[in-house]
Amino acid sequence: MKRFRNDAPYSQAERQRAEECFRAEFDHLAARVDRMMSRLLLAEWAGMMVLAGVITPRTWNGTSHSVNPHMWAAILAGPAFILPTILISRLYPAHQITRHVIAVAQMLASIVLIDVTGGRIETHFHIFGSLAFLAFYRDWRVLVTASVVTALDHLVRGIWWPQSVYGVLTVSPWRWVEHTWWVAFEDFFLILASRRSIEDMWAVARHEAKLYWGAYHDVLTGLPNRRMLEECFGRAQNDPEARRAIVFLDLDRFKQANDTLGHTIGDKLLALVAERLAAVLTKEQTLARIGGDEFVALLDEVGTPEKATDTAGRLLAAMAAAFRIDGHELLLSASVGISLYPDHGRDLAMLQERADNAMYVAKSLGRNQCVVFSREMARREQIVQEISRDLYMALPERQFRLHFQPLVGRSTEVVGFEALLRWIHPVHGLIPPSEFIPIAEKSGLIVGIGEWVLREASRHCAEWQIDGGRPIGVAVNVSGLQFERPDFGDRVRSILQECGLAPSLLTLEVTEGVLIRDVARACHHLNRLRRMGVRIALDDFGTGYSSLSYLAALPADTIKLDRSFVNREFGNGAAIIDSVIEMAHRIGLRVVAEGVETSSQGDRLLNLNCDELQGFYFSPPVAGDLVPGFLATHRDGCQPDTRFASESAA
Amino acid sequence: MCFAVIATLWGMRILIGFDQTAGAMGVAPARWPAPSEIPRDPARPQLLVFVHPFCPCSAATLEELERMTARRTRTSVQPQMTVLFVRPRGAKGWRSAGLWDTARQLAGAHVMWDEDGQEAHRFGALTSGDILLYEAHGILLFHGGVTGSRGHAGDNYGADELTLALDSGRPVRAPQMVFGCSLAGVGLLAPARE
Repeated sequence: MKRFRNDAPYSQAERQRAEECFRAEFDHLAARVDRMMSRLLLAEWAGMMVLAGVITPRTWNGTSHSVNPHMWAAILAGPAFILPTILISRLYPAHQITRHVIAVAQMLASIVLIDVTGGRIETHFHIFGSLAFLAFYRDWRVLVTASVVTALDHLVRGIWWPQSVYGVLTVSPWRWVEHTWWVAFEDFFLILASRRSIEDMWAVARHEAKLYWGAYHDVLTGLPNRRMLEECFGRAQNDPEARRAIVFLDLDRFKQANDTLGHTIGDKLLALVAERLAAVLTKEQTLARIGGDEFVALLDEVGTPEKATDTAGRLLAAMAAAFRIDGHELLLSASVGISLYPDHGRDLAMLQERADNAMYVAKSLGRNQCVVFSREMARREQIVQEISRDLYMALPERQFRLHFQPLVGRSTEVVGFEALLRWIHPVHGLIPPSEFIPIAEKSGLIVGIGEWVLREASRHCAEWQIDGGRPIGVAVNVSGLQFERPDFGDRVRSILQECGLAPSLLTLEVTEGVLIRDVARACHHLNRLRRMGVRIALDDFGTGYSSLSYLAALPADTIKLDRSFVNREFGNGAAIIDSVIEMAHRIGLRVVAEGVETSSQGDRLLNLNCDELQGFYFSPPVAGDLVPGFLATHRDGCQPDTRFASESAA
Repeated sequence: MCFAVIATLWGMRILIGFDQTAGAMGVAPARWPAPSEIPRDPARPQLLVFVHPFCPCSAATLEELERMTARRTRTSVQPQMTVLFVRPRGAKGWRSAGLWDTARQLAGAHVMWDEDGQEAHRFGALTSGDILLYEAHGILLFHGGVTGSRGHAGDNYGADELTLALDSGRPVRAPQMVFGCSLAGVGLLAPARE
């Protein structure tokens, strides 16, 4: 079999594939020519008998006659070599030996045909025609075999019966040279054409192999891609007893490395990672790259989850050593999720999804570890899927409710409320925001939901205001997606006008994480909102970066101390609260403490000059419709909720 | 396949043996026999061709003669050609083999039956395709066949020698072999009734 002329740009797999493509195409061609040649031989046999019958049916001796030997030759050519050759071509199509047998038979048929037709010069062209037909094989060796048979025939007859070849009793010794020349002349062109055709077939096969390889492999790492993984999984699925594992591996903070060092180094890093991971696995185990920094290993015959975990551990260990790329030394870890076949699913998509879920759990547990998917995860995943599905209908079907938790001033007077979203699911009942807000953010539904919250809160707040009374404000949480929309300021203005609420009564609570994604743009938005009169509060202060430089730069009015600080009543916690409040006051910010649940917390925060307090100690969130009633009794002094305070203390 | 090759070679050996086996050669009279009833032009050489009406091999002989006639120019010596088809006296249907019509198409050829092969016997022709050339005065110049083997038309020494004899007017040295069916069958070539 002919090899690649230039092996360098081709991988072993590509070469193998190209040979497979070529072999398949060549076998197909050879089988077709086998069939054609066997039919031709059959036709020649019939033609041979007809011609022998027409030209020399009998030999005459006076008035008596016998069947001419030519007639016998024509008849016996069939069982002698034509029929056996046809049988071989049917039994062993596309075999190399079949081609050579056909070549021999074809040339013998030509020789017999020439002889039985009286050696006419026209029938000599049958030799050339036969060579041309054999050239359909595109196998020059077949032409050589055919030529050797013809040459042997001419050599033998040329020596002992030259007149049977050359038509004269005594001939010029150079006559055979002329005969040989004509055959060699045709052979030259036919062999040349065959070789060119073969080269063309190789070119097509190489191209096809390249496309095939590209379709099933990741170009960057050379690993199988998702499609190949699916095929491998499909092949392995034929064994119902098999126990396999899907190991989903995601690089930790790869994006950070990619963004800071550039995509070129990022690509090199991925290639090195792929190399290391592949070295851990055996030939029977498939490692695929299915996304940016996501790899999936298909482990066959793992038996137990422990074995899969063991392999995953080795994959993680392989990542431990530093990667050295272009003078950079990079330390990288990965998070791994594992799902098992058939326990966690029977199709690859399901298994991959569950391994992905497990991987996210691993990330949430602190990265650089491995987690096996569990039934609990499955249950949660099912709920998440249901929530994701139902969330789309929650807003149009009015399943959301707003509750308001009061913010009290230093004299426990109610100064405002924080709007809190509640979802009353028709089946699952009350679903906490922590369950559905991340899903809403992921799906983009948060923008619509956030706008609804803003509108409802503004509408309620406008209703709370009474002539001559102290104004009651409302605080609304704003998501990152919502805040980053270019028309966010216009939407706020429009809603305020629609609801007839003074901008100064609206406080937008934004987390620090949302603001520092793009500080310049955030400042632009905040300044615009503040110019409108809207107040800005930095939510969950103390849990994120809490960068002092950002605190100075961001145009906020209030910071909201996170409940985790409020709970730290003694030691360093108290000192931090004290410092934060003092610092905020010094730069002109008000401080709201949330999560106040006991009287001691409230007293201490008041002693530390905290401006406003919020928490169950004063009141749990109140349904929107009940707020006017609540205000009627608590507007000037919000008495602690003793029921809750006692429960909390308990 | 070996069997097929061997069988084919063996068959070819038989075929070649058959093709290359010349027919019997009689002794032709050195001068034109006086009792012959074949019409003769005393001004031109006389070319006689004896043919078995059913002999397939003789088709090659007629083909060679046609080729030779076509090659000869007007200035060359044009012999008077007589094709004699040998048959038992009174036999019917012997014209149907097709050779008769082929012979009729030869330029300037006179075609006739040789009943019981009397003329063939007279001229010593024992094999279909036997050709004799006598010069205008009745001297034998050529005797033999003009094909290389049975039924094989194509270049051969017999045809070359016949052309040479015609052009030079001198006899060839040795008789050429005749490839064709036998004329010496039962009931044929009976002694001429002289």
